[in-house]
Amino acid sequence: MRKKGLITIIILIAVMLLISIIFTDQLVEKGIEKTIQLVTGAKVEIDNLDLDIFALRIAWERLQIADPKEPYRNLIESGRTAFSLNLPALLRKKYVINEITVLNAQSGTSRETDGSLPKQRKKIVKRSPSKWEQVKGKITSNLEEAELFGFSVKDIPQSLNTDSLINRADLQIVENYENISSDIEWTTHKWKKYYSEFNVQEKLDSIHSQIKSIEPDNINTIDKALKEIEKVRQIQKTMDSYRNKISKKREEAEADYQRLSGFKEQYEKWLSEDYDNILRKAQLPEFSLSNASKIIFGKSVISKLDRYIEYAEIISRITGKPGEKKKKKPPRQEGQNIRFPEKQIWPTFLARKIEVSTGEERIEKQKVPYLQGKITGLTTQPRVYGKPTVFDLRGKYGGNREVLFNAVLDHTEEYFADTYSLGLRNISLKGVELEKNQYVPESIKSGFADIDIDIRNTEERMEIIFFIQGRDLEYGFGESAESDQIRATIRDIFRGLDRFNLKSTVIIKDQTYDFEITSNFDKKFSQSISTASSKKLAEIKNKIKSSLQEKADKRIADLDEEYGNVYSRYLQPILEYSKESELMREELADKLKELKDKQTEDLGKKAEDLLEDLLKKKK
Amino acid sequence: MIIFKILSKFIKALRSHDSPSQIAWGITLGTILGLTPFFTFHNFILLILIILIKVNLSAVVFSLILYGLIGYILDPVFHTIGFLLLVNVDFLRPVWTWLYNLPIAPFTRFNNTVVIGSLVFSLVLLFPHYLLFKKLVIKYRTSWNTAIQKWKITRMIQGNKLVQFYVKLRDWRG
Repeated sequence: MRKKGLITIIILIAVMLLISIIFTDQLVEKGIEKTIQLVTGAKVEIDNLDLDIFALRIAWERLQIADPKEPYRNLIESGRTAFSLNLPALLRKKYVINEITVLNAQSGTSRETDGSLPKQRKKIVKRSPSKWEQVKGKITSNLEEAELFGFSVKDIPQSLNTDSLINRADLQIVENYENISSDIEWTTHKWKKYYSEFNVQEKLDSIHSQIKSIEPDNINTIDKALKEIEKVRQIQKTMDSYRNKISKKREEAEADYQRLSGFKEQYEKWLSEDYDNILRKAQLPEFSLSNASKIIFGKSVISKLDRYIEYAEIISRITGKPGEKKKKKPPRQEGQNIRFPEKQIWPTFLARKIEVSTGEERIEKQKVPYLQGKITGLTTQPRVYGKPTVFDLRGKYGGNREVLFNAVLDHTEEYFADTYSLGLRNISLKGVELEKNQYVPESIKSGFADIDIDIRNTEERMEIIFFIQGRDLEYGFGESAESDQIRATIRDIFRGLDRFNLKSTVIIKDQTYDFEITSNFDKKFSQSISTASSKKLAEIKNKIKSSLQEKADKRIADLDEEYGNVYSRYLQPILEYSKESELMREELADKLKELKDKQTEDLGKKAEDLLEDLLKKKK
Repeated sequence: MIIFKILSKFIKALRSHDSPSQIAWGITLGTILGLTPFFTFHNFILLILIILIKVNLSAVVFSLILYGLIGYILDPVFHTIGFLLLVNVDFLRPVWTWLYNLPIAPFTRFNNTVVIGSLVFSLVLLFPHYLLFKKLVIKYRTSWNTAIQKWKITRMIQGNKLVQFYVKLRDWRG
């Protein structure tokens, strides 16, 4: 045994122990602070961390996690916290904690120093935008564009000259009148020319008189009969030629009739289109009363949701998303690490149970809640752990107020599914400043509210439901004057609205969203506003409609008269001529049959007479 | 310069009062340190052992450097041996699995093909190495020392101005 060597080893061990006693606490403290900062994106401070290196036990007196949205407020502040690390796991560089006890955890406490991270550190926490971040801007800008009232009700009649609007518009009822009128004129000319070149009536009359002149009863010889048959055939030939011409013209007349007779129906369509077009140009405010809440409260709701969703995303970031890439393989020279089946696999970080507790006696004095409950399965590798992370926290504080928070973060499968539920009960609204908006009150003087926010987030879809129920509400409108009727109406509604409820739903899928707000305000608003503003608007709309109708009616009457002339003088006769020619054709056919019968009868008789004469001569 | 120093110390060690066994063990243990990747659990144990037991340290350092270079060249061979042992030898698998599940396993890095390949290689050579170097040290002391001193290369190294300057500098620093 080398004595010098033994002394060297003893000295080395002593130095290492000394270093660990002096510096390890600080190093571990900094390490934990940095790790949490990467997740939250705000300052984390741990006070008096104590590491028992032999028992692997860590404890600290105070932990402050700053709110990234409000740097002078803590997202979480806790008192004494203690836990032990699992040695076998730690030897494999895994931080596994069976139970953490946290005392006096609070949310929303104020900070003495700024809790935002310096800019260099902020760069580290940059990450790709979440589903909410992708659509939040779109929702807000759409709400900004959705002006509730472009101008006030009393301005509507002054700012609109309906006659000028109608005169300036390219009206289909006017443009198409000219087209139809010239079509009728052209049709009239066409038929006039036809009738002048081919006098149908005259031709048919001539045929008719020829038919009348054929009298089969007066025919007594075969020759005469044959002559008459030939005559009928000639008439038939002429008749067929006329009939073909008339038939063709009848088809033409039917097409003209079809084209011209439909103008009345078309006028209905043009009238409706002209009316819509004028309303569009007039930019009349559409009082879609169902979305009044969305426009009035939309921005406030989005701003509130933004805050809570950011907290939810911070929590979600702790557990990491499934399918995160593994480290790349080492280069060939370093060899290859072969893996064997492990009896126990630990995630890189796992806190099996975090027990949060507080003293009941503090409740009535507190302005922010002391949380109690438990968090189970908090891990950075949920797929390795195989169980979802569950939050079940509640806290009571002064004035019978209560906060409830439940969340299940299931990242154990390929596609994650998170649900968050936050409930706030008996929240005092006294002195709450509202979003700056010319229609809503500036503040709430007194009242209470229950708020519920439910978030369901999966790989493909995010659904957020925000529900608020206010009671015993009294609003503060400030000093500004009620400059228009709508503002006055809205203020009246608020004054009579001591109970208020609002439900907002946001569904995000494939970077598109559906955002709805419903409220009991809508009903009251629609009742009040529709009587005033909608009446005025209805008057304007009626004026436009009747003016257009008048223009259309006059033109329809003119066209009706022109069309009536064409129809009665040219179209209807050709249809009748066609019928008449058919009748004449039938009459001719009858005559021909009659003549043929007569001829047969005469021939038979003559043959009988000849036979009788021959028989008599033989005798 | 450090090379000359180590070489000079090693030559000194060969002629020193240390027993041939101490020098041979120094070379043999240095071989393990040199052939296997340095930052492993077995090397940590080996270092403590070297500090505690009486082996020639100059021999350890000389061997560590020499076999470190050889080890770098032989890495592909070690990988092949390691892969064969860890993956292709079925009867060893339960042993590896048991070792893998030991709390201390991550520090040993035994599941790395180069680590296990080089360790097995150097362990196989342990006793042959020891016996060979022990014989060589004895042979050096009895027969080769005088002859080697007469070699031109030895005289060149000793006559080299650079070496002389180094020797002067060393002596001046005490």
